[in-house]
Amino acid sequence: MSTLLEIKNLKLDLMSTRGIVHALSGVDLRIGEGEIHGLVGESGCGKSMTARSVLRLNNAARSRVSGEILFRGEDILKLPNKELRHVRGERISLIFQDPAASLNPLMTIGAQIGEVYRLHGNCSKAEAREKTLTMLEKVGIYPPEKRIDQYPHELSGGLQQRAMIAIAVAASPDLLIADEPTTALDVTIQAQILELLKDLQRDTGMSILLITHNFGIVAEICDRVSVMYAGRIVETADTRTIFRNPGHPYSKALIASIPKAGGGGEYLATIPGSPPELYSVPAGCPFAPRCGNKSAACARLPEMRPCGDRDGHFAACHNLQCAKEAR
Amino acid sequence: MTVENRNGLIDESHIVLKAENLRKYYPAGSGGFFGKKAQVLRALDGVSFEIHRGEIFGVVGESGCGKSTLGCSVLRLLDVDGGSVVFEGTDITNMTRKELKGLRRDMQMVFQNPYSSFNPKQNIGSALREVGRVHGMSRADTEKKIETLLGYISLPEDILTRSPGELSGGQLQRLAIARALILDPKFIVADEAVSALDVSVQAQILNLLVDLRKKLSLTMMFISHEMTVIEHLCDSVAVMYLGKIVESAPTDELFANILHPYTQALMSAIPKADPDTDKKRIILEGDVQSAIDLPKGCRFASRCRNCAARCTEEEPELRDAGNGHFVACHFV
Repeated sequence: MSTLLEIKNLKLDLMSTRGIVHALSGVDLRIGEGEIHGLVGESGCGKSMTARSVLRLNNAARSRVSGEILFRGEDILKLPNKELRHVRGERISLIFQDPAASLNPLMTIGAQIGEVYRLHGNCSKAEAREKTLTMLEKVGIYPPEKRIDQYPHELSGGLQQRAMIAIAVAASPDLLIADEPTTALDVTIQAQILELLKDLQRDTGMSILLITHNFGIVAEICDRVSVMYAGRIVETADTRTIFRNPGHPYSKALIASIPKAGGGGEYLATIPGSPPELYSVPAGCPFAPRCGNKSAACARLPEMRPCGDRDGHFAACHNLQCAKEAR
Repeated sequence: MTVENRNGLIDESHIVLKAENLRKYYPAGSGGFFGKKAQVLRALDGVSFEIHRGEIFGVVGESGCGKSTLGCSVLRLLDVDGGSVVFEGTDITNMTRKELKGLRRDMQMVFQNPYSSFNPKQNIGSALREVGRVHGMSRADTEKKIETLLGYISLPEDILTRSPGELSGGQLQRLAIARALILDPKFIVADEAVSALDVSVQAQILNLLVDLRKKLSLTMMFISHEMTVIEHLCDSVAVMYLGKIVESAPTDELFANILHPYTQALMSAIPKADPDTDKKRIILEGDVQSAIDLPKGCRFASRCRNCAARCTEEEPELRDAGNGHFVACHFV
């Protein structure tokens, strides 16, 4: 699979009232063409910051970025603002967790979707409306003729998220970044939205970077997964391998802490302690203080290295324990 | 309803809380000038259940199904419009505020968001001691109780001098649980108590609850929208849809034998954290109907895959399906 987006050693420092937050300290991530890539981790580990950095949405005056974000070989971090406008929405687009907060409450959803066609597709008003109607149908907002003139507050949460998705895919981007797209929704609606994302991916061949904290969603729709901890990717693998043969102790612990069906009343595995404060990440492996399998080597920062015998399975740990598995 | 006694902790002969035909209606739309009929939102529309001593009773459903209204109603944080709540043999449905204050000692609540359930300007110690003070516990007793509880929730004593903003969500949620336990309540309502937390922290809190129930033989109503959490923790489960219980059973029975089409869809919609499970699922069409002006017949009919003519005519009653399993569907 050829590479669509490659992030190399991305570092991001943010200024805050309490000092400098090292939000990302060397993220390496590769997303293939047509791939649904999951990015998982606990709150504050840098998932959303990675997404925002890809579109350069962080306030440049209050943040410091280094590294490379190569989109089809072109470094987004070096693009002039004018060209960036053509990347945003046209080639990479983003949907957020809370659709109600992301839609403009004063514009009809038709106008908000049509805007994309007019800005990125040089369409006339009438053409844009025509295309918007088609798009509404495509994302499952029925009946389009009625919904096109409705305001966001007239739509349920599930329909609002569908409208957000319509805006995001209107300009046929190559990469859709979905930041916790279903977290605010009920499970039955979540199932609908995941189904929609899968269908859209199949129809258009775009890649999706799906940010979530829910391993169930990862198992459901992702081809590959990266696990983040304290501003770094600690493990990358195909979805089955992450569940069947995780290499990094953090991935193992996270997966073990999910309540399983039929496990009534027993103790769940937990991870002692809490993630490090990102004001001063300790030297060495950031997970070492919570790790049950640490050694003297953990005082050094582990590099990503191959794990197991699956292609593309990497983990950043000195004491990898992935079993050799049959293909 | 018999409850399977899977932990040997449940005293079936002793009913702590009994709700009968609870109804809570909210006015929705004024009705207005022109004699248009005023609309009502039926948040609870005839809910009945019993909770035994030592039992963790789970309530599950999607947003807007009335589960939080139910939690608040049984604690009398809301006044109901019909039905009765009997707590430890006393009908508390029409108690006055004064009488209720005595009752609050025995019934406590833990909320979803720990950050908003502590006063940001008050340090933790003061927030915990306030509970004892308001309810006339002596200072020494309060201190002793707090010390024991901090031991249970594995937090150091110096946490009492910290303010809520300095603590993590997991720590605060433990403190919220400890605060609810200071008065040795007989009954606790936990409303989405683990929903705002990361999985690893959620696991810590669930373990804590399992621990505490063993130590203190807690009786609890645990409200959640997450089936897996409910299955993990609860002894019996009630599934709600639009203000009604559509299915209820002991946990093991329910998950072994799901009868109601809504519960089946709800279970099927949960993404399983296992890449090899069957990916075929029941996808419900459309959204939950509004609880305003419900149609006659079954509330779930418009989204149900088994819907037949009878379903739009006649509302199904909650019927006994054996093994303590109750279900409201014509086709079971």
